[in-house]
Amino acid sequence: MSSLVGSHLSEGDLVRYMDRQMDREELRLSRAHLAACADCAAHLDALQKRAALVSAWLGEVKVAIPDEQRALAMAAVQRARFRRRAVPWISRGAMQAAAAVLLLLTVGFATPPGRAFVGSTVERLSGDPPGPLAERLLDLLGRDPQADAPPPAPVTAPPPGARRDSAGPAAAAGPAAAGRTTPNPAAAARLPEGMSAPVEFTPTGNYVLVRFDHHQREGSATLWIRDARQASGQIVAGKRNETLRPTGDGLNVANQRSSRAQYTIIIPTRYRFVRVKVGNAPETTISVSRAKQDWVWTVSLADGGPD
Amino acid sequence: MSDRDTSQDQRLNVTQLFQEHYDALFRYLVRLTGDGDLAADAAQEAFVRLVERPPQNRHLRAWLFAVATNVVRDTARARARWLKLLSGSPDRAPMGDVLPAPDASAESEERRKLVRAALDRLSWKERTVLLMREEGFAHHEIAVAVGTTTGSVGTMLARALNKLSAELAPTSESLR
Repeated sequence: MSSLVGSHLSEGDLVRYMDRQMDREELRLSRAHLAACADCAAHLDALQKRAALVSAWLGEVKVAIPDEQRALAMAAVQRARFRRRAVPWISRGAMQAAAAVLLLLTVGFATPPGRAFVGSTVERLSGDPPGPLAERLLDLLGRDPQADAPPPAPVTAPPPGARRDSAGPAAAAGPAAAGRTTPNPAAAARLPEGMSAPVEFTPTGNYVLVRFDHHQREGSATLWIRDARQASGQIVAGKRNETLRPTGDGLNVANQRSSRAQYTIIIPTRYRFVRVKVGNAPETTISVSRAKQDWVWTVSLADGGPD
Repeated sequence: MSDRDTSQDQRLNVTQLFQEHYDALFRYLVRLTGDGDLAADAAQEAFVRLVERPPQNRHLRAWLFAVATNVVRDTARARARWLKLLSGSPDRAPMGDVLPAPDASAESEERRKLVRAALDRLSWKERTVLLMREEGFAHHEIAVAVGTTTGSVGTMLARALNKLSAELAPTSESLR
């Protein structure tokens, strides 16, 4: 407003006056100034003539609009309208929330690490034993061909003269440490000597890794996997003439007495129980958590201690 | 009002908006760019966006022109026509040449070329504010379209009017 009081109107102000783009107060002041200022009035007059000239020139230049262009544009608008009607309106926030939930469900239930995390969380929160709801959720997480299999044979008593392997603190915790229960010293005490407890959880890969280490007695160690149609073994370190031979009911591991091999047997996951028979010792069963499907088990096939 | 009624109203509104504003938008874009194909594409794109992402404000006409102006600017940049549009050549395809009126006389053809050449000498913003003013838009609507303040539109318009009239005045005297 200050520019309109006491001084000449700028060209911008004159255009705003000419185009009626001023508010009431600006308009009043401008009128008063133009009535008193011949220069600004002349300037406004010139500007109005220029605007009229330009409008006349632009108006004289006709722009033909072909019907074909208009029809094409209208068809495009109709297509856009059809697409918009075909897709139900969903707010961006709702779509983002749905995508987040889908992502969480995918990660939580469709990937081994996700199932392991969700399963372990459910196990921790549900107590021991888990409640019915937790059981159902764990069943869902670990659903597999063995889901309805009968419970495994009870763990047999350790053979006389056997000893516990010292594979680390987790090894002494017993199979329950890797299963769905908390470490149970009593269960660990029932382990056959020469066999350690599961020691490590590995969330990567779709395999159960069974690791034999220490000194192995001559003969064979057989992994029996319930209802297993496939089993394979792979020695990953320290091979000394060991052989891994898939059988109809599991995987036969033939080893050398002098072997110090530490090797890993890879068997398909999704099995609840793995039966392990060490030499002539009674068979034992290692339970695999229904939630956690990737495990490393260290099984020591000791024969009286290190060489 | 039922959903069906609402849908029908929206359909009618879009059709009505198209019928009311397409020609003016196309004419404005041809004058702005001198390119009939580019103008047709931009006008169509503006109406498609109106359907797909309708604006919240009620100034749909101003919104259409602003969107189409932005489409033209972006497209021209993408096609490397931008420099050509800015530099402007009197010999390039003049406004309306791509779509000549059936009864276009030699005199009107000459005027079209002259106006096109004069418009090409304006900057993009000057040309936009001038042509939007010719279409009857308020200064605040022009300001939104060119991305400036309302107060500066008057100054830009004065500059554009002075430039264009200086270009056209001698020609006007000779032709009249």
